[in-house]
Amino acid sequence: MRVPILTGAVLLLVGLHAGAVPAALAPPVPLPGWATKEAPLRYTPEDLYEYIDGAAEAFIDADFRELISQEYEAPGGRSLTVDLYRHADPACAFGIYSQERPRQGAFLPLGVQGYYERGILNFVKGDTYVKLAAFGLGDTDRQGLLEAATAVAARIQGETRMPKLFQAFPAEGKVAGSERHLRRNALGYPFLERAFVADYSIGGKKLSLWILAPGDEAGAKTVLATYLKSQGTPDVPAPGTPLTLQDRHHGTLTILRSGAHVVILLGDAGPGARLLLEGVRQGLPAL
Amino acid sequence: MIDRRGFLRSGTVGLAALGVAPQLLPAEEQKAAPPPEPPRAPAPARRTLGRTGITLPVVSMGVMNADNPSLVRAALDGGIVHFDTAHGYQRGRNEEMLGEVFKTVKRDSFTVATKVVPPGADRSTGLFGPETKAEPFVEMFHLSLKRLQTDHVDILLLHNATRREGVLFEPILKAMQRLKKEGKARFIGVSTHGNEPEVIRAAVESKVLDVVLTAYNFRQAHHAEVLTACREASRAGLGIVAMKTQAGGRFSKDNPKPVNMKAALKWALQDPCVTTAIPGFTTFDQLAEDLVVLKDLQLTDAERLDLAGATKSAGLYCQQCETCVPQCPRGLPIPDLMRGYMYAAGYRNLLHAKDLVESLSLAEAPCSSCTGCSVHCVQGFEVRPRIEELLSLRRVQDAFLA
Repeated sequence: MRVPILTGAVLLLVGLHAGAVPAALAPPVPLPGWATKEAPLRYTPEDLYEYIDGAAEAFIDADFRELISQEYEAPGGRSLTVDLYRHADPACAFGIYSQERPRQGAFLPLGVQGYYERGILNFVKGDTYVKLAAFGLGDTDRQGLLEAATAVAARIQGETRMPKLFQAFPAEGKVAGSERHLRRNALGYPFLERAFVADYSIGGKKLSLWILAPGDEAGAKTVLATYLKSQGTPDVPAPGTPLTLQDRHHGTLTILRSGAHVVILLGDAGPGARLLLEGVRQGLPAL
Repeated sequence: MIDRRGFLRSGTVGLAALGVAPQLLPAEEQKAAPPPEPPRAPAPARRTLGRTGITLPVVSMGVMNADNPSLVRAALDGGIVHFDTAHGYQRGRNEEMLGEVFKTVKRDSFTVATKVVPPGADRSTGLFGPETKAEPFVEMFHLSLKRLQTDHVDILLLHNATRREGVLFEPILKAMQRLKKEGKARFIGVSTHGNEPEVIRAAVESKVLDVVLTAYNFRQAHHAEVLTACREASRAGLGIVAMKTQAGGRFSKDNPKPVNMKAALKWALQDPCVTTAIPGFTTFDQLAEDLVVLKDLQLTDAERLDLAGATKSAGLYCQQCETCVPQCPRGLPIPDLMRGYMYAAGYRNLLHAKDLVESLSLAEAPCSSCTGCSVHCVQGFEVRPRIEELLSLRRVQDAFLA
């Protein structure tokens, strides 16, 4: 072990501001054709703001744990930055990725999913959201980024599929690429957490389906009761029974509790709403 | 200035203090007293955004982290008029979300600002190179208009300028003027959250920019200098919008207690040269809290105390103001050393910190000849202990730090 060899003062330095984050420094990922420029920088929730300014808030809301940022360089003035954002769990990492990715486009089969735009390539794998930004690659921009991203992905352990709860979303009518996750403040309410969301287009109507996963049945009961109370509806329906109401901010909304989950359909889907919710309800127990 | 209700209230208190209860006044005087006024909500405070002539409520919405159209609608319903977004936020989805809301309301019921970073901008230097051209900047702006579902924005900002040269970069400046002339941007300006005073003064120097969006908050070590520059710009006719008004509060390493967000917002609005602030919010509760400020800018004693407490924790980020340098009898490069301390204690990058220390070629124990430390950091850093801790890295082999 290295730590005991360090001097007392250095131990003090290392120990300072430890917070809840492990103190490991990630070694730079070796990338063929690239040389590391400087030692990697590490940011935590307390100072992420210094790196990405106001965007830090969204990352912290998604249970961001640490960022390792490494710069690389190559002949011809080419440069590459690889940012590894590690979150509390794969759902949170997918969540922040899903907030930043384009809604449409050709996604890359890299990790869970990724996408390329000129000069950047972002993807998510396991609990890590990876962002690559290149400069000066010219015609080799896409290929260069893809090669680097593939090498980075190979070094990251973790899930390569979307969070399991997305399997409960009925396929019919679902808008491709609309899956996203919000760790907190779902629908703008602080008591609605761990939301898995997808958009639907049914009969020409735009809807969005939310599955909240507070962890257990008691949590789901509390979430439902708190939400209904906030809307002035104190009567909590029986499990599995959908209730349609007018949310004061969002308009027509149908809500039901199914085991440890609360399901919300936003929008006026008419009879289709109940069918959609029933489809979710049937899919949830298997997960 | 005391208003009529305040006068009546203080008058009553004054009488009570003299031991004269209202019911003891002569009957005709009691009759003459006006009936109590029904409670009335104060009007939202509004200010004019420099020479643009746009009058805005003092609280606007920074939309950056919001992905919720209902929240934007609630903000509109609550009296917020101005919305700040950027081409790059959420890879364009932020503008798209706003566009979905804007298409449902009258165009003259809101104002919107968007920001564009010209391709080829070097983030580390704040400068533009030969790759930076006007055309892609204009194309990006047109895409922003399309996403926002409008034929014009009220304010187009050059995003995240940190250097005078960046603000005055002619190809972009001319492109923005052209867009203004074409009516696609009613007004143009610059946003900054680094080296703000230089950027703000450059905006004045440009003679063509109308608005500055600047970071300004009670935690900035140089907030007085930012305010001075804002006042100069305001006198020159530029409109000032404040951002990051609560910045750093939630994220301070040394102070786990959350900052009083309402107090921080009020603080930034105390000087009238700041027309409006753009706090970000993602919940309806946070919106409600900010709407309170819209109608009550007065900082309470408790709020002042909260802010004072929050500023005591200095954090790790040295602002590199160099005020400390002449105070040190040994002439130590303290800003560099504080930067190194941040690398070590903040980023845990001990090797990087050691490299920096060694590049400074300092004596073995430079502080040892001083009995006390004459350096008083304006941010409140305990400079000497930090230096001593940092320099101890020199005694550790690289292999143990990598």
